[in-house]
Amino acid sequence: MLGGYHTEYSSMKLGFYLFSEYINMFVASAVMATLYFGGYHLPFISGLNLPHNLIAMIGVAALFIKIFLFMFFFMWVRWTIPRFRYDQLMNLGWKILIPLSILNLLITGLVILLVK
Amino acid sequence: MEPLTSRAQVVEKKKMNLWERMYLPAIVGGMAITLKHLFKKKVTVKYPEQKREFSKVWRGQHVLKRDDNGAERCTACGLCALACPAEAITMDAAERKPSEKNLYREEKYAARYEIDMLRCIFCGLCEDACPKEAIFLRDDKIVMSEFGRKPFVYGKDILVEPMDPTKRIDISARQKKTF
Ligand code: SF4
Ligand code: SF4
Repeated sequence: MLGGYHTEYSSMKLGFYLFSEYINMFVASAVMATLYFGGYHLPFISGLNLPHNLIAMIGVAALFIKIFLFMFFFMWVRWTIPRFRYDQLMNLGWKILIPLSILNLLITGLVILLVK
Repeated sequence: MEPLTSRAQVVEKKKMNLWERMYLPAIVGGMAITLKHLFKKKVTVKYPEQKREFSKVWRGQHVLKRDDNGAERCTACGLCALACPAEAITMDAAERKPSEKNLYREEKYAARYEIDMLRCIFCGLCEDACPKEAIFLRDDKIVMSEFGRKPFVYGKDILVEPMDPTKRIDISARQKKTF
């Protein structure tokens, strides 16, 4: 039931291990926020005619808020399902989530086609 | 078989349909629950800084009482040791010298009185057995942790309450036995 490293490591070594995991989480969140959620963009911010520096500052804040929202989501899932059984996780990933994303792709393409 | 409680439920194993097999609805439901708990009042307390109130019937560390004049009440009769189901109590009796009248109430007293707190199960039977109302279990003090076994054998230096009338240990709640 335990992840191996939980029993193998203790004190600072476990600390580094978990630290690297959290860095991983942060980087993944940053990539997700940048690639799929617009990075430092906020909707309607360019229409407000704010000074550039202020916009840059708001952009940084927006990026970090997005990153932290993703990290919260990661942790939230972790609180809810601390240990997902691995075969179930594989089933979920391959048989449910990937078909769903392909479906999403198709529907998005269809909508774009119809709208244009 | 007769169910033991009214809450017994018959569970049957049936095949899950696609919606259930997707797990996603269940996961979302679970996440809603965790999110709800995030905003609920916490049930835990930050222990060393914050302490829960002890129950009125709490039985903690023992105290050997003195009488109003400051003399020890215990007469080393050994009834507490006899009553103790964990055999935690040991004592040596000694005879009181005439000059020690202010120290010990009876003519016989406990020269050594030890309770092994590792053996003790805090049942309170010693308190019930004592004919001299000498030993009580305090309702406000936990036996603290130690690094070895030796320090858990509490002698008279720890168990007997201070002579100073202002530092006496109040056990009136336990004496009344109102619970
Ligand atoms: S509380 Fe019970 S176990 Fe502890 S010393 Fe008294 S009689 Fe023995
Ligand atoms: S504490 Fe009470 S029961 Fe125990 S030896 Fe002293 S007088 Fe007797």
